[in-house]
Amino acid sequence: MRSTHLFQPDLAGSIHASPILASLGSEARERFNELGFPSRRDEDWRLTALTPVTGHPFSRAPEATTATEHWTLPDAVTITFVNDRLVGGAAENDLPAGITITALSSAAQSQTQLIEEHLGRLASFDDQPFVALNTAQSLEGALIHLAPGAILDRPINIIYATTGDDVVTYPRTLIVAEENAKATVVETFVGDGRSLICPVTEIAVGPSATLQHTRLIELSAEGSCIGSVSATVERNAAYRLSSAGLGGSLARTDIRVGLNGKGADATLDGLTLVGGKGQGITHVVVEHRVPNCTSTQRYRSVLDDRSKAVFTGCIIVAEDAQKTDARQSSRSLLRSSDAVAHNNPQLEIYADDVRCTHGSTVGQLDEEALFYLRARGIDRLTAEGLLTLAFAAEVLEGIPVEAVKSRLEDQLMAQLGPEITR
Amino acid sequence: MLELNNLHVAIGGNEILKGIDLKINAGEVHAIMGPNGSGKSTLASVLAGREEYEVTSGEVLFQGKNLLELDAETRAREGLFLAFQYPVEIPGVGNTYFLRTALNAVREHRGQAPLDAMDFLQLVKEKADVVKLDPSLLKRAVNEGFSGGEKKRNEIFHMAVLEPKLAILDETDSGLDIDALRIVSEGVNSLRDSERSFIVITHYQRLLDHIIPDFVHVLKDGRIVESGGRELALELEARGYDWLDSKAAVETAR
Repeated sequence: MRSTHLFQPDLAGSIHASPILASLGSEARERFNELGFPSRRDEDWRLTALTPVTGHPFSRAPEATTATEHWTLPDAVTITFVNDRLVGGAAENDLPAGITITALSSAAQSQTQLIEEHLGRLASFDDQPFVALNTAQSLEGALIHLAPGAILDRPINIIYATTGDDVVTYPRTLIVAEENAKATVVETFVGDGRSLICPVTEIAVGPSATLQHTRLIELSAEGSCIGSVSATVERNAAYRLSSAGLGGSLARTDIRVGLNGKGADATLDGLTLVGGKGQGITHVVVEHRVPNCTSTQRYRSVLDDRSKAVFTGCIIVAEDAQKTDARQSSRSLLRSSDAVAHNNPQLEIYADDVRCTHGSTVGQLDEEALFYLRARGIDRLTAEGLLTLAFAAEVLEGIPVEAVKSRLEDQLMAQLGPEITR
Repeated sequence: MLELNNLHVAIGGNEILKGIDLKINAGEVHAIMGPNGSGKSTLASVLAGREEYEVTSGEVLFQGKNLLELDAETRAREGLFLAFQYPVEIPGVGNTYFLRTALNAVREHRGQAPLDAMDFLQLVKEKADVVKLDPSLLKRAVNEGFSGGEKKRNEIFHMAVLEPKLAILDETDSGLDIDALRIVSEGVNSLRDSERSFIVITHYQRLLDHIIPDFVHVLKDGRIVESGGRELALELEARGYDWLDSKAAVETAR
């Protein structure tokens, strides 16, 4: 099958100097060679048209010669990568004791134990071809380590910019929050041309730790992103993820969260905005492995033109995971009659004393509300924009960093309607 | 201010308004009364710009302009205001934020600079006081979870902020208890002046004890069958609407 694809990742030979990364890379390379790209015959990929990825001759992004423009979170600890190369580090930032932010390539030398223990262990490449591809190809990324009890008040902003046409990047993030640690991490993925971003983020949230994680994916109309997030959450720990995907030809994110210790909580929010012939696809699997854990999934998609959005949310409750409380809701707003939304809740429950709820709706803008706004003097486009923002509000409200929230609101309004004076 | 000439309106092929003639001058308050299904709310909807209604003939002039050519938002910006019979709940859109967007759209249309946040808040405080609107409602989403009375008060509050030239109150009294009715009426009365006109649509005369109209019209089966002064409302209260049928029949026979 692979020979028919125009995208032929260069998998020859090792690309890593570090023995740890080299051996992991070669394992993943073998696995990718066995798996190949998924096809629509794979149940998980049935509704994903991969042509924007496999039908294009992407090659590894060269070092960027020009500076790229991207948004930076104010008052944050920032680490920036452009085309898989570190361009601005966290070294210049004053970090409290117990917190390190390191480029993965140097961490492979200096923090070998952490790398060995976690990298490639959280994100399984056994059954996820794009994780295998990233693990085989990734050159660079960020390692964030929070020692037990370490707390960072400022958010950390990891920026992965991909610039140029016909290029592919493989950003890689590993976040390890030890017991009682607390931090907020904002990952920004920006693609400015006809590019492909294949990121993998691995997260270990230790006992009683809290990690607030936001992912922003901002693509040009021809850009694509196929990424994954894998997290494990230990006893009494909390993992909160807010994802927002704006634009792009194909944006897919696979999220897998394992609740490993009693009292663990995962709150997963997502907002997808698609237009043109774009596809916005989210697959979530939350595994309740032990008793007394809670999880919430709230996903919203806004569709224009001839776009497509897919949400598949799976809740797995293991046999002894009694007293599980798992909730899921997915809603889609069709702003065009040619757009299509699929919401697929999936429950696999092997315990008997659990509470699992799910609900999904697909709807249009409320004509009564539209008329009410217009009858007060607000033009139709702005009224539609306001109602769309309102639709997204629940997810926007959950974003822990105010600056990220207003940035998203502004971007939404810019795409949906004329500027509104605030 | 407003002139309706032989207005015919249909929805889904059903004729609801069958030739309405009405002239409202600046500063006048006209009450439109009538039994259920007479076309009162249709009249309000058509004037506000609801698109599902079809004007089959006739014309409407608002300050000399052909109102029917304007979309709903332009009518509002030109100074027409509809207080909804059933105000819509809009979760996620803040009441104050929404109103500021609306007011600045209206101001822009009038060639005025947008109000900044401070000036706007001052204005909102002032106007909320006029209808004794609970200030916590300003922070909530538009009408979301408001009681019936709070919704109607919110409508009058919006009107006070937007300062329209012509306000149409569509059954604003429905669902109000006596106290709320008095407060809402006082709000309306405080906005009465020689430039601003009102159309007060109501089923019952009790609202007109508080908002004293200059003229009363009775709408029945899509036609204005009787017009008069304030005393007409009192007569309707005493005699109901049925006596108008026989009167109309007599007139038609003539």
